[in-house]
Amino acid sequence: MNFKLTKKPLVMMLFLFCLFPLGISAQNIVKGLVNDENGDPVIGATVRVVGTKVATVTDLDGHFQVSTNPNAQLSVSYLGYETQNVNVGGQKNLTIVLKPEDTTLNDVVVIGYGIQKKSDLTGSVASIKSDDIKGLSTTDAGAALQGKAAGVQIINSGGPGEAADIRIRGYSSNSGNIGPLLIVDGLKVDNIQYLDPSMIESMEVLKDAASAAIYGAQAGNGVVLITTKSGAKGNGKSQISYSSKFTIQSLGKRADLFDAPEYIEYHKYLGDMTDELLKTNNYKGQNTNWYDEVFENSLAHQHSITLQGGNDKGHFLASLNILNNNGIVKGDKDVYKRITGQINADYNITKWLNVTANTSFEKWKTKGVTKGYGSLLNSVVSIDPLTPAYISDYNDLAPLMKAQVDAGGPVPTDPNHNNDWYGTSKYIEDATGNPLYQRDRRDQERSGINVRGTVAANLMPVNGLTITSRLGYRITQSNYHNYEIPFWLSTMAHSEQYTIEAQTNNGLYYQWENFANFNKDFGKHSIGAMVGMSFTKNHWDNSSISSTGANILSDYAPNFRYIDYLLADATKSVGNAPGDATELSYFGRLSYNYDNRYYLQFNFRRDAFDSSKLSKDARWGNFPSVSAGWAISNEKFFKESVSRDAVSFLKLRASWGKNGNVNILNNYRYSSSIALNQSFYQFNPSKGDGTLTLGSKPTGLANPDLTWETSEQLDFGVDARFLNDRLTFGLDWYRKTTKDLLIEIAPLPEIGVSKSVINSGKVLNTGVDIELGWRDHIGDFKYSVNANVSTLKNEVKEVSAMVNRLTEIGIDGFNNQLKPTFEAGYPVWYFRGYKYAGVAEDGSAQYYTKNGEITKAPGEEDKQFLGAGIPKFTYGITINLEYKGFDFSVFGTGAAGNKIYNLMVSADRPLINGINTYWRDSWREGNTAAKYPDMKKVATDWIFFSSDAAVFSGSYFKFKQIQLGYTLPSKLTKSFLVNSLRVYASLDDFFTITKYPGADPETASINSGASRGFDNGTYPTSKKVVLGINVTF
Amino acid sequence: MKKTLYSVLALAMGAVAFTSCEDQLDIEQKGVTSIENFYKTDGDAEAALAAAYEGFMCNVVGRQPDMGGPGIYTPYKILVNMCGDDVLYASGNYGDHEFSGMLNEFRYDTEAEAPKFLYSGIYLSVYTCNLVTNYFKDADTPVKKRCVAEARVLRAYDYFLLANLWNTPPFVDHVLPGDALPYNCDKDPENPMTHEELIMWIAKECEEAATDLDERKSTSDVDGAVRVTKGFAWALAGKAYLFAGKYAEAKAALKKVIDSGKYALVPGDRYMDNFHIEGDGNEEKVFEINFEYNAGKSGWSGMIQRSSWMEANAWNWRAGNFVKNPANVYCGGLDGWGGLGVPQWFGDEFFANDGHSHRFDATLKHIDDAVYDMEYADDALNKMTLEQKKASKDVGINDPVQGLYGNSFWLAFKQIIRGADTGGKVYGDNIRLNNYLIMRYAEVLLNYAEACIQTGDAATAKTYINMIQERAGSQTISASVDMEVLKKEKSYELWLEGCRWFDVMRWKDQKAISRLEAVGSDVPHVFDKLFRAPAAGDEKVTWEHGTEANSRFYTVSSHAAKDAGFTVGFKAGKHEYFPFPQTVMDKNPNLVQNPGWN
Repeated sequence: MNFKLTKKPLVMMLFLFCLFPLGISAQNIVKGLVNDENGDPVIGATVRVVGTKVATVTDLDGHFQVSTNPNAQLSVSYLGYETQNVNVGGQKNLTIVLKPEDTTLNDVVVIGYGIQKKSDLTGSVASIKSDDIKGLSTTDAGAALQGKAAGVQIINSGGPGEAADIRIRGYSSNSGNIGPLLIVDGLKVDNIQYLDPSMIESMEVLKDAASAAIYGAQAGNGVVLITTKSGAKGNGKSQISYSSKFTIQSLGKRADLFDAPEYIEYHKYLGDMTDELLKTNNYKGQNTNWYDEVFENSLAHQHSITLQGGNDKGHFLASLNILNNNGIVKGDKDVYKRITGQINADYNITKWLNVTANTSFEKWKTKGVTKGYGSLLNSVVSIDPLTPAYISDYNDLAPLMKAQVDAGGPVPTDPNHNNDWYGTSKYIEDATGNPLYQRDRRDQERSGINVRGTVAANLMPVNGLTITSRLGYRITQSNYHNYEIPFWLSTMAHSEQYTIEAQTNNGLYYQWENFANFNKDFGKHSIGAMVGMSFTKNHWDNSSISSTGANILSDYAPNFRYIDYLLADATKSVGNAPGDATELSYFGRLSYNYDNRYYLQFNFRRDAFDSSKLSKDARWGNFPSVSAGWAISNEKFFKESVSRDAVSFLKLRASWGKNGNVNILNNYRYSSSIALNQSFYQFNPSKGDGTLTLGSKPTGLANPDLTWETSEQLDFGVDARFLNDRLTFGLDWYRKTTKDLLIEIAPLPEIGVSKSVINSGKVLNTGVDIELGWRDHIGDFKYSVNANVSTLKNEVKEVSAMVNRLTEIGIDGFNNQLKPTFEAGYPVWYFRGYKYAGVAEDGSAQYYTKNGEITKAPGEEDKQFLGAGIPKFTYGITINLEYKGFDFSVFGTGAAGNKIYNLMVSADRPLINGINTYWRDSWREGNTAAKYPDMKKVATDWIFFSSDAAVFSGSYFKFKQIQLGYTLPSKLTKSFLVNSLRVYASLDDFFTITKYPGADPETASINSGASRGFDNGTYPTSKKVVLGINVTF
Repeated sequence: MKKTLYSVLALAMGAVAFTSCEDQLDIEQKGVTSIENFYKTDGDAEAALAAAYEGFMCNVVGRQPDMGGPGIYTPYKILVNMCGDDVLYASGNYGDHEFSGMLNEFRYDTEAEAPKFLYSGIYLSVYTCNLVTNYFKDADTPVKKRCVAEARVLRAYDYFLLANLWNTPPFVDHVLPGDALPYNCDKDPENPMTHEELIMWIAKECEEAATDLDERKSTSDVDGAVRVTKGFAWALAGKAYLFAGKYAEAKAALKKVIDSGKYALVPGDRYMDNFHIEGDGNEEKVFEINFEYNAGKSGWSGMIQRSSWMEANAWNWRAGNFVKNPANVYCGGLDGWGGLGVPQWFGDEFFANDGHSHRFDATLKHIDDAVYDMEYADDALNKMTLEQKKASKDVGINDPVQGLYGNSFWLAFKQIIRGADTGGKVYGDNIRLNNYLIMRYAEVLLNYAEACIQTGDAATAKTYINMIQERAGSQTISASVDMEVLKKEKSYELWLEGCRWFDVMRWKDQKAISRLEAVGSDVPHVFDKLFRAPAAGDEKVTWEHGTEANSRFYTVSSHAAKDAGFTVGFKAGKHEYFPFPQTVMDKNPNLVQNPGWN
């Protein structure tokens, strides 16, 4: 490494040293005690002699002593309390009582590389405190954000251990890689699923580009900053707390599937089911509810213990959290287990040196079930209700299954169910066979260990200046094992092969950041400055080996199911190539505020990424931002004309900034070289199998100008508080334009290269975020209501002239013509298909042509916009009530304007089960005013099922939580040495209001990227009954 | 003192903090070398050529892994066969296997999937060939010269397909820059070439390249069948001359293949092996792309993606519509989705001509022969007498709605996978290891015979046509030959081998064209009366042996696509050539669409 001094920052630092004051001569000693309102001592409060540099902090008993002249004024401050100025007035012993700060006024929010008072903000930052998320049943910090902040959308998956996706202010790209930058205690992390919400002190979401600009090329999709609890909250008291939570999970909303009588009725109508066929198949009236067969109630439990303490020198917190969630699929194939620990400490080594260390460790394990074509979750909704889950009598087997049994084929039986056969349909050869066997046919497990942490030194050489050097690291290790066996259920669901896979992944990430913060007031002028640099390196070394074949292991007993026992001639697929990614950044911030009325802030970041992402010439990028605020309520004219009781605070904000998204770049996509010996042809069959001649060719077309996506965002906001701060209001309007999307184009075929990546395209997101809060009390009855609403208008403005329209498959393996499409003039990845125009007189389906005329045979060019999976509105509401020791809260969220394409009915496989929605309102004799056509005419017509007849509203409102808690009176609990004891019961995800005929619309999506809103059966959200206890000693 | 300490500390921190680590950003790419250092040695030429063969294998005759793979078919086979008058689009029902149905019934549009895939795929192959011819333009060693020659012939075959499918495709014989906007070959401002000139270019390119090519060593040289040799170059030159109407030149080129003595027809009892693994690289193969098991390469990305993968399922009989799939044992247990049917007239004429010849039995099967004579896994069924089977509901077609959609009483058999083709299911039961056939000697002989007829040498033509008939074991050995005889013979011998559609178009065969015009209006379904009696609305109920009394199976006719509002059937002035894909047209203002497609 070249150590090369860059001059400017150093000069600036030397300048700062010049400000360092001279020593001060000793005078009288004044002693004092600082208490809180309850008479408890305040530990670590700062006592400063006004107008001098003399200061001290209170000790464990709240005492302090300071040398000053008898007429001096002391300023006593402590985080969370109002600062008090006290005149010494010749006294030698003072008792000072601190009042808790009005937190609304002086809430501190974490911004990149620093903190700021909430009232000083010029950007758009949503701040969520620990109180806002306490008692949530989710174990994922990302999911905890849902409904708590305007402009933040959370895309949940139902399965245990599946992380929520976070979207901030829209969907900016064709790429699915549009999650925000995640920073925990200063460390960049790849997910926040490991972080239990109970560990979180605060979460800040930097929504506008100006706030996020300090993170430059990685902040184009917003930033989530998380601060974990530090032990500083206990006011110096040592504290041990224990909490425990038991969650009983049960299946939530189900899809409206056909049951057996209705299925028979429907298919008799279609003509592919007859009494004779039922008789031939020896149908005995089974009516299998596959949801009941596959899902069961299950238990998740979680325990955590936290130790914390501190004094004027430092704070310490240690926490251990254990989670065990066995999901609602019967058996133990959907499991999430996690043990996490957190150790946070800070210590003032000297007055000018403070060190902090935050460490978290995590051990996790997940097992999941499959979704998509031929999966367990698809099988639940697709296998017919006439088929029993298990079959014990050979004569009841489907004919082809019987033939397999006769031929000694690998027809599986379930040892946990009397060795019965898994039931498969006699009516249709289905790719799934039986959901329970889809569960049992593979043994798959992921597990790992992560250690994440930061160590920082804060140097405070002069008043107002803090120089921080911080090392962050992530050590990750994970393993994957999978084992699958040959089986035969149907002609579509079978395998002749064993598969065994093993992967080990090792990674070391570190970031080294050095930055200096300087804050100083000059009369009415307040100045803040920050400069810094960061260097990041990520190293990984992953290995994989797998083998698939009819005979691959020396034996198949459980103790042989490891790579070690592969036969010598088994086909192996192996992989390993260690890799690195590095980045280098310089950044700075200048903020200025005059008289708490006018605010101005500039951010600048200069980023460079390594040569795997960008060519040497294109690697640097500049990301500036500017923001301004005007606190009208602090203007003299305002104070004179408007009562504080009516409007206590009013501020206007505006910001502009530029960010990037670099996640989309990797693997030297800008360059073209020769892929040496990666091709092959077999010229010599005479020499036998496997004689290869290796070949080489270029990797593709070079595009050295390839660069990141950049977003520019404009934000205007208002913050206001009314009626003595009882009513709070925040509103932001934003307009975010993202350009230079990375688009994979097919160059002209004649060029000869199938794909190439270029920067092109533009996406516009605009919206309004509104947050509204009310809190008050009537005697002992305290209540508050917080609501937030966000609107989103998402539109692709441009795509490359080389593609004009990008399309994706939707769900692999499903034949349909409705495709997720990315095209100018429409939302990101909208549904493009045929537009259904209702039923013709003869019961056949009608569609609109591209010109709006009615047709029965629409062509490819008649496909059009049918909606999108992105909600236009999302909202959340939280109501908290407190009376004496009781607390009650209701929290709900909803989305509106999003569409879901339901693929549960299939034109090429009409006999699979699915939603009965169409049949219930289809054209028949006596029901000619139906919404849907004569099913006889469309049951095998994929145009119908690729039209918006199969697209449904995905709007919903869900009561995420209804919780009742009781805190025992402390007088009582103190008698058995307990400081506080709270018990609570909660109904989570219990009620969902929706018209969607599939399962839960919130999770009814195969993925959060291009196929958002495609539903062929996903992991259903479970309803939860939660019982919990929190004890503090 | 404190101040000094601060200063030292701050200086140290400052020094460390604000340093540049920019060289840490340079991370070398793994597994590649620069283009400047490559394309030098004989070894590099061989490596570039191997990539060209791979390009041809994957993107022309294979399932196009470089483009993501189109699904359950290989575009090449669909495109060169499904427009023929001698095949039917079949499957579960109308709407299923649309990629193929729209071609067969001429209801595709400018964005049809299979042509779009093949158009791009061929140019991907042209590019990997151009890399060889470009970078070794001044070949100075025998190895480099041979490599260039092989790449030229592969590229010539690419243009043979392009010219016959798209009329005047852009002519690209060198590596193009990424922003090039090529013209149709006849409108190229620098080097305009009409369709006919392009065909002639193909022929000449092959003849020229033949000089530098190796020759197949003998009829038993399997290596010589899986790469471009003099034999294939001459055979392709001859075929191109024939298409250009240059019969004398065609005759001369094809005669060289015959005279080389490196090729022979396999005996009749091995005729069927030509389409299965046992026939890989046999004496009849002039050129085929080699595919075989490779223990060193992984399944999906290494081998399965370059195999024909689920084409085996797509083209096997539709198992789910039979009580028991009669082909199940034959196929090694692989069941299918029945994507291919045979028109009644074709089976009837072929059978009338051949009888149960080796050739006929390898190509088609009557529904009776399928249901009653094929071996079932269940021995109880095999032990039943013919009469018992005829009355048994343990066999037959049990689908009451579609029957066998798109099928007549003749079932297509030549394309069905044989159990052995999977090499012991090394990649699964639907991955054929047998080679991709490009040209076999029988076609060379028939092309030669045609050139002879066209040049007035019927006697020589008869010799070769009789040779084909005798080998087939046909009951018809022609006493005299003319174009009618040749046309029939070629359609039987080379059914589903990518010849018929091109031949119909170049012969402008009116009988065939009128059949194509009617396609889609009369789609047969075979039903089994034991599972479905003829219904009131059935159109054109036809019993297999004439009457209900003596027949179990019957066909009815439908026209589902037409009912849905599609225009079906071949239109002269439009369907002779495929449209350039709309997505390509949209990007390239210099490309002019084929007639009838605007």
